[in-house]
Amino acid sequence: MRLSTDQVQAIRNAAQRVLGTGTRVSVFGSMVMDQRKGGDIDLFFETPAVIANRAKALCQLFGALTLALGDRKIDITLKDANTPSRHPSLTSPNAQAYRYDPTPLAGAR
Amino acid sequence: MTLRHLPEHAENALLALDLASKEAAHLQYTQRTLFAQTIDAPWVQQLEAPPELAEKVDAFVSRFGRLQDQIGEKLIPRFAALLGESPKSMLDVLAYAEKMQWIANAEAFIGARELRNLLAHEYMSDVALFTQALLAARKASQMLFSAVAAIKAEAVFLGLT
Repeated sequence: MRLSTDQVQAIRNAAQRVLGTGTRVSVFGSMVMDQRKGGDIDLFFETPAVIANRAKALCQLFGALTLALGDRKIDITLKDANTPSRHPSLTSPNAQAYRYDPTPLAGAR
Repeated sequence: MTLRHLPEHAENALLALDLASKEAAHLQYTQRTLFAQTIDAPWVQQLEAPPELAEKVDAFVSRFGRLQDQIGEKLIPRFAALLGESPKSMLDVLAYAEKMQWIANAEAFIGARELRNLLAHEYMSDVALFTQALLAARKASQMLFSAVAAIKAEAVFLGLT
């Protein structure tokens, strides 16, 4: 996994600040593969809570993560208690990749 | 009298301000006519039926994105240059704008870029999320208008307009 300890901590902090405790965060896609260079940061946030305004939460996450990780491409998938498992954001090619190589960020729960 | 700015950057800064003002006026018009209606989930659901409504949403999203880019990529950097600063990265540009109080919050300004993804990718496939994103973009438009107004006030303060 090509995220540093500081980056992981920054992602965990953003998750907790925006979505609250109990949020699970995983990184997937090329950032999981040590031999790759560059690439997007694909993150999957899953919270047992109901997020009343998901658009607002996604914007807050994106803003916080960009400030913390720098201006690079960050793709965020958010699943809350009300998101159906057949939701388009969970069946997109990007999210499908998550099935194969999700790496939970240690201690993110 | 000592100038508070670098006059060689004035023309470029004023051109960027002029374009941003025009784009803000266009966005204001589309926003006013779009949000004259009650935007909620049922409204979004019936968007596909009258094509002119979907067109209005597209115009709003595209004008929103254009103004956001103009402010972040042209207006702020050129006014920074006018004042002798040259922030390199987008994050430095926005941090400078926050320091100058041209924008209230760099994090919220960056966060609003995500709205463009939500309004493009989630079109109709997630009505609730699309509705929330549309309403959030309306609020974020005010943030963009405030930035243009603040920089216009800076130009007046510098004696450029």
